[in-house]
Amino acid sequence: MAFEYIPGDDAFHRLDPRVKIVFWLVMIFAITAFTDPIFMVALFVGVLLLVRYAGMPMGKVASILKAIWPILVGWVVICTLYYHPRGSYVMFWAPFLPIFGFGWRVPITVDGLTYAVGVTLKIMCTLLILRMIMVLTPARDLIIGLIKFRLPPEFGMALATGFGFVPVLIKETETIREALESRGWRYNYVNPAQRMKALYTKMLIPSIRGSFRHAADIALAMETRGFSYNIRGRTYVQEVRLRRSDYVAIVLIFALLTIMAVTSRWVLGWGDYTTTVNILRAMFPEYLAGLERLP
Amino acid sequence: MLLVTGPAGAGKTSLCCCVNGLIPYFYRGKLDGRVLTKGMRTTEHPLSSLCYVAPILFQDPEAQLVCPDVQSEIAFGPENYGVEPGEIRRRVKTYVDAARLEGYEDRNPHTLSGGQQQACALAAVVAVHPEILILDEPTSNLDPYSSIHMLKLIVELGRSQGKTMVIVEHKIEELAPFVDRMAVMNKGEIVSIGEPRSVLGEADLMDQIGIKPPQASLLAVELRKAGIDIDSAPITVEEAKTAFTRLLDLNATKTKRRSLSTESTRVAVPPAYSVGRELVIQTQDLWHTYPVANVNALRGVSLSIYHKDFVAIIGQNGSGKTSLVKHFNGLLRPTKGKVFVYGLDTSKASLVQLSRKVGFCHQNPDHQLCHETVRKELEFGPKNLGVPDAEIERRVLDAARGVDLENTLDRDPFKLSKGERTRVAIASILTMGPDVVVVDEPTTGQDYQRAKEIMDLMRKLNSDGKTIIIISHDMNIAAEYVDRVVVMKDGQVLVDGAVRDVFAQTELLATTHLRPPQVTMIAQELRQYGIPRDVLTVGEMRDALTNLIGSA
Repeated sequence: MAFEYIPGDDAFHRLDPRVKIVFWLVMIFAITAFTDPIFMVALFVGVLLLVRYAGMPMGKVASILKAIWPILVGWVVICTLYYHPRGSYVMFWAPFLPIFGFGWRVPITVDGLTYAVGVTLKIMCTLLILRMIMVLTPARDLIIGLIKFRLPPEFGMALATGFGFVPVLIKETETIREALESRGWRYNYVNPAQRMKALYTKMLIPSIRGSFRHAADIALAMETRGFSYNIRGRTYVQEVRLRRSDYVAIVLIFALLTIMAVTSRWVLGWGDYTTTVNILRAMFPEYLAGLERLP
Repeated sequence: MLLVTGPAGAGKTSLCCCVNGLIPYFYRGKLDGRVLTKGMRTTEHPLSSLCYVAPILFQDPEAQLVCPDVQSEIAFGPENYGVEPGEIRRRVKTYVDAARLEGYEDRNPHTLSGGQQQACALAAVVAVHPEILILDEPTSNLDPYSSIHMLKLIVELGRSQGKTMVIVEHKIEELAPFVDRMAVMNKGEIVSIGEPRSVLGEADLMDQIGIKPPQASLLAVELRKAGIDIDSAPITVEEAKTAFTRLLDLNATKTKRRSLSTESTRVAVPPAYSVGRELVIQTQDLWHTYPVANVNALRGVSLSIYHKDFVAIIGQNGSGKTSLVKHFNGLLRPTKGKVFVYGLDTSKASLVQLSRKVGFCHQNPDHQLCHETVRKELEFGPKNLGVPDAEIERRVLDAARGVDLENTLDRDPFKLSKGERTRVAIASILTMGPDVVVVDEPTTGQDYQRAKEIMDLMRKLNSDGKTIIIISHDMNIAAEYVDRVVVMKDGQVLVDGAVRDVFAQTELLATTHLRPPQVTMIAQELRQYGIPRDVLTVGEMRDALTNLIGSA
């Protein structure tokens, strides 16, 4: 399975589930808040180092990139074409592109390109982080952590079961599709609307029936194994006690957050793409000075 | 240890559900009389307290695994009952070992093999340390290898912990030697209960309600009918060997002893398949590698299927059976090698083109049925192929008549019984008018009566001129019905031939943990008396024995 947890015994794996959840939240916050390509590259490299340390094979990272690179390239192109705020440095005008506001030509700007790279790195970081959460944190950790953050155990169990059933549902969908194909059913229309219609009308009935059956089965299984015996009084096999290393990790995480906030606000300006543009201006003063600027 | 058996719909599962309160708490209805579980009246105690004393393991492992990893799964029950965490950790360790799941502790249980899943589900139930254990067809969904392991695990646990066990099973042959008592149910009643040997001795009753006792018992009954006196009631191969050896020795001493040639004889029957018929499917050095998992599912399979063959493909899960047959209608394309269907290279043909020739019916009908009525279900395939309406109507009626479902054409397929749904799924393939019908495990999880109905249908289709390929785990079914057996192991063909020749090779089958029918094994144990080693049915064995004793 692509999203299977990889066990390990390093400092990261040993952290308290709650600390891991906080860590992931901080990372997701950082990705959302900042766009600057330099910052994103730093974050990406940092996450890669952590991934490496925690024993996730680099091949898995490569496989994500391999699967989505056309989307990433497309994203860079589209962002560059559409993003050109006032005062941007125009590298050249791309002709014959009917984009509103400039007639039949579009400015390709340093600012636009920087922004596009930043946003694309953001997508890559998001995907990498989401993948890492699954690979480096067992679902049971996420769930026990959430329960310790006062989430009711019923919700925790619902989440746990959800995680567990992903491979079952994937397999089932695959089987249903094969069964339909064996009966001469075609869904690979070129028109995406037709394709969706074909997929949904025929696959939906068996899939929904399957989901209802699974839901009933799970309810039965949980009841027969005593889930409702005494929900508030149930024990948890997993020890969740904050140890010294956990406190150290929390301090480190918040130190990291502070550094990111301070540097982006007061040292490098807001964490958007302008930091990189400023650095480029310092590095190539003649080139940028010679460029036309958008009004 | 009590073994409960009976045909589908006899009330076995309902009985199990009464013991731990699922009836009436989960399944509602009218309940008369009373059930006492460990002295607790089930209507007066909550379900969870009853399940603490008498939990239940169901047939489908997938439906009982609720946690994201194996450890959590085993800990789940004890956690619910408030067991102290240190103790839970000890139990998780113990039962992970007992279920042979070391190294899989952090895996999602749903990604394990069927056998491992069921072992995990059993470990999870036992970890609560219940006094009574109820097992509802624990091996019905497993392949032969896993089900032998599962039964061993159950018997071991029962013995070592002295638990009371109620086991519902169709695999009487495997379990009868280990249980103390056996009950037979039919139409909601217990029709016979007692020591397994005496229950199994009631041959007429078993026959009447459609239960298949071990072939050893059947054989003893048959011989008794033929006027040969047998003083014991054998149920295993060893017991049968002892009983029949004594019988044969006794008779042999009366006259001159037969020459003790170890050269085994054969039942002289010419191979009943393939002779001079048209080649319909041919694979040449077929390899298949699944891209994501990078697993070689097939490793050089060369196989020829001829018109009107009736073939069973057998082997353990993961041996490549399903991967092989998926090449016949183009669901899979060869990674290396070639597959020809009626001379057409499948790597150059479309699925639609191939599905006119080869119909493939999946194992679980619920994955296949997607329409509101049986009629629409049967029309779906031919409509996709562009068959004219009048012709579709004719085919639908033909197919429905063929599987005996004419009266259900306007009903919702999901409101039919499982046996009927399987028949709808088969009929929905037949309406496409294929010459070759491939059915994936039509008898797995079905009781003897239903399995027999489905196989009778297959035989009828075969004699109507269809080439039939089934995937099966059931050796007795294969012995009784098919002409030809292909045994798969690790993505290769281990042996391929007439059913009689294949089942005579016990040692070869044992390398992939398969066993020929019990009666074949008994025959081989007695081969020094001149009994053919390729006996397939109880009838043949009876004739061989009566001949010997009669001639003595």
